[in-house]
Order: sequence, then C-alpha cells, then structure tokens
Amino acid sequence: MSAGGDDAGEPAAAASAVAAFGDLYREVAPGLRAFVRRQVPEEQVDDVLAEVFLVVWQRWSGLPAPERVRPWIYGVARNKIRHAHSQRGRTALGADLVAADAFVHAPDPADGLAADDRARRLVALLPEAEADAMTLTIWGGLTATEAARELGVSVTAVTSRLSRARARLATALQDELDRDGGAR
Amino acid sequence: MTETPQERRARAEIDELAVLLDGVGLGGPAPAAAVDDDAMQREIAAIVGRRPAAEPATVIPLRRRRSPWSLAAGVAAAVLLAVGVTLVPSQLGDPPAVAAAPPMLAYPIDPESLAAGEGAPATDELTALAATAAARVDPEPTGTVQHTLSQSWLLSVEVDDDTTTMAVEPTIGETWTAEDGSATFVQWRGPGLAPSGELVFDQTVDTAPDNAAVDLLPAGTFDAQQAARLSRDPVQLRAELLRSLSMLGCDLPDSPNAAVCLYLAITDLADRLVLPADLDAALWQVLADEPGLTLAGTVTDRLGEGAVALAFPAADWDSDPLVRVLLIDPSTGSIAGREEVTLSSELLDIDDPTVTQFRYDLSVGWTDVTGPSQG
Repeated sequence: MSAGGDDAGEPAAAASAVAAFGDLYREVAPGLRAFVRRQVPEEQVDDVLAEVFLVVWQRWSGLPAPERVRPWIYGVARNKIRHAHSQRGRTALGADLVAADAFVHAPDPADGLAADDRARRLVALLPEAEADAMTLTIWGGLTATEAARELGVSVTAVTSRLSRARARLATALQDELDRDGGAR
Repeated sequence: MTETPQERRARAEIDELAVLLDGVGLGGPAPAAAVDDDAMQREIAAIVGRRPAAEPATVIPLRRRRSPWSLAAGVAAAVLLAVGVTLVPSQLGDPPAVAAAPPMLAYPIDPESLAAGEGAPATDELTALAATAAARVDPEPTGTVQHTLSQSWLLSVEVDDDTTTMAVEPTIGETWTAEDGSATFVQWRGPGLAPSGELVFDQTVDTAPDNAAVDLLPAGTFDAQQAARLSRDPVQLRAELLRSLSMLGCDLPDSPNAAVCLYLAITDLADRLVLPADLDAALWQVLADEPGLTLAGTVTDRLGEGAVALAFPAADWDSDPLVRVLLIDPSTGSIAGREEVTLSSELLDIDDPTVTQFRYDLSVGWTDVTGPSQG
C-alpha cells in the first residue's frame, strides 16, 4: 500500500489505502480520543489525535502486523502525549491541576468531564515511566507484553512500574478519603 | 499461547491496579463519545490530504559550528586534556545560568575508594544484567535513522589557533545517524539541576535553531550498521571494541587500559546508535569477564530511577585521577546513563571529588527524519 494523493485520478492502490486508513481511523479513533482526553487538557486533544493518525498515515506502507497495529498506535499516542506534556511543562501541568482544586469527590460516573479531569490529576502524580505503564494497560487496554514492546522495556519492568504506580495512587486516594472525612 | 510467569505476574498487577482505580471510576478504558460521522470524515480527509509520507520532513537549516565538535569526554577530551587550557564562559548560545558542579550520586562507596578499585567484583551483577537484556523485547523500528536525545553536563572544548578553552555546562543533545553514515548532531544549552541533583523537565529550554550548535557530518562518517554487525560472541566482541580505539592503544596485548577502553567504546556506540537487546547482553557478558572494573552499588540516577553502577579505573592517559561510572537499568539491561567523577584537578581547580560530566539518554530509537523538523 502507498500513501494516497489528492488527485481525482489517483491510482486504485492509493484509493484503497485511503479507504483502509479510514476504516482503521473509525475503528480506533473514538477509543483513542477518550484515552488522550484523560491525559492532556481538552483543548489539546484534537491536535494530539491528529498528530497520532498523521504518523499512522505516514507509516501506512510499513505498519506492524495487524494484531500489533492497535498497541503500536497507542504507543505513538503515548509519545505525542509526552510531547504535549513537555511543551506545556509536565510538572507545571500537574501543579496547575492540583492547585486549582485538590481532589474532587468521586465523580458521577455519568459525568465524563469530571472523570477526565480527575484522571489527569491522577496521572500527573506519577513519574512518566509509571504513568506510561498505567495508562497503556489500564486505560489503553494493552496487555503487559504489548505495553512492554511499545515502551521498549521488559514485562518485568512494566510490572514493577505498575506496582509503584499502584502504591502511589493508593496513597493519594487514601489521603483524599482522609481529607473528605476531616471535612465532614 | 502459554502465559509466562512474568506475564502472569504482570496481569495480576494490572488487575489489582484496575480494582484500585475502579473505586474512582477509572479502572478501565474511558467510554468513547458518540461518533459524529461527518466530523470523522473531515478528520480523515484532513490527514490523508497532507503531503505523502515518501518525502522526508523538512529539516531546519541550522547554523554550523565554526570549531570541531567536542563530544562527551571520551576520546576527544582524553587527547585534549594534555593541552594547556583556560576555563572560559560557555560557548553555547546564552551564557550559563549556573556554573556549579552537579551533586554527586549517592554511591555506597566513596569515589576515592571506587577509583582505587575497592568496590565489589561486578561479575555476578553483570551476568544477571546480560540475562535481563537478553530477555528484553525491543520495539520495532519505525524508520531507518537512529535517533538519540540526551541531557548532559559536558566538558565542552573549543580549539582555536593558539588556545584551547573548556567549560562544564548543562546540555541537551540530539543525534540523527542515517543509513549512509551521515549524521546530524545538535546541542542546546540545557536547564540546571534540581537541588537533589536530578534532571528537571519542567523548565523552558530554548531550542530555537539560533541557539543550537550543530554539526552536519557527511555520508560515510559513521558505520550506521555497526551495532548490527558487531559480534555477539563476548570474546570476539571484546576484540572488535578494543580495535575500534586502536588510536589510543586499546588493541595492544595486555593493555592496562582495557577496561576503560571498553567503557569508551561502549559509550561511543550508545551515544549515536540504537543498541539492540542481544548486543547489550553481549556487552555485559564482555564486562563480566573483564578485570579492573568493580561494582559501585545500586544508586538512584538523575532520572530518579534505580541503576546498577559500575566503576572503571582511570586510564594512564588521564592527567587527573578520576573514576568513570556506567549506569545500567536493571529492569531492561540497557544503559541508563554515565557519570565521571574527577577526584582532584589543578587544571579545573578541583580539590575534592567532583562530578565533571554525566549523560542520560532520554530517548533512543528509530525514526524517519534526519534532523530537527518543522512543527
């Protein structure tokens, strides 16, 4: 397959590539958008998503094997999210989110915006290595093996990062419960 | 496919974390919003309507450095330290904000003892690291250009007609090594360190082209396939690595500097190339059998991660007593970073052990661009 052009007389192969790309986009983009929305501010989500799929389109002739495409796309998304964080200043972002309002109460599951906001606060508490492992597996649905491949680390490394993330988040969530209990 | 014990443990950890996050409604993938077909069609059209991927991304034309490139201490500084020097302000872009030496990593053994080879033997640790590296699964290459992004404190050396000047300065560096052996090296002034000595990532760094120092090296400068071509047999690999530094006499029989030579050869590779898992495994097996280097313990590196520290004795060409430390990530068996501690130096006006250099790779991988790109 080759990347398509935009001429009316584009070759059949290019048209086929465009169609296949469109199918992949429709299949993956909605879930990926939700994944990204939990990690970057709302105003950056569209840009990050577009950058991810631009990479997918540019790599179209050399995509991984079909069963590895989705994990690979999430790996690309992780890189783009990191880039968005570094441009914004990851620590500054976390500080903004924490300073603006300490942890909100458990959001109404029907309130997607509040859930995304809370997700961003939690991710900002984690070092990047732990955040990558957690988001790819828990929110991205990748297996540990898939996440390890996309992160370029061993499965054991992913396990240890998840363990550390769990300890950190457990402490943070307990602190929140204690604060809520003290406020009543 | 049968689940391995490592995968089983990982799955259990994922399940536990999911239960924890489920308590706050975040224990799984976020629900996807309702699909707007028209909006999605517009998004798809916008992406496929862009320039085809066959053309490389535009590389920003950068100002070429006037003087020869000076890489991290390695070979260049080993030779240049023999020349009389004068400390001068930074040669990179804006003046340095901080000139203080980085805080020392918390080694369990003091640097003087490390330099004297009093650390524990490193054989068992290196053998274990080799096994870890051998088990590592590397991501598939997404291009043919090898890219590294690093943050360092480097000894910068500039050679004029009649003077050689040096400064230790925080630096961000990127390298792109293409298939044909051409390379682009770019350096910018880096941010200072946290008081703990850890790298910081939340300071704005001006990576505008005007503030970059760049070298564009032509095709054939490097062997881009070197990492793939090196032998994986430890004996043969050792010989190849030492031969690569024959200009320092590293290939001489019974060289007293063999351990340091291996350090320099390995770090030179890692500075520019993507080292695959099986090569890392072979490298640690080479070092496991090498006398002279010792274990400097497990330390927290400047990325806040645990690392196995290996201490290498000074070479007989080093004009000052120093110890070189290679840091290896125990979870992957890949290089995490490296540090150099100078114990004393009249030249650099150092009376106590001082970190005079370090480097940490923030990103190493394959790409399809050959330099900084637009946007």
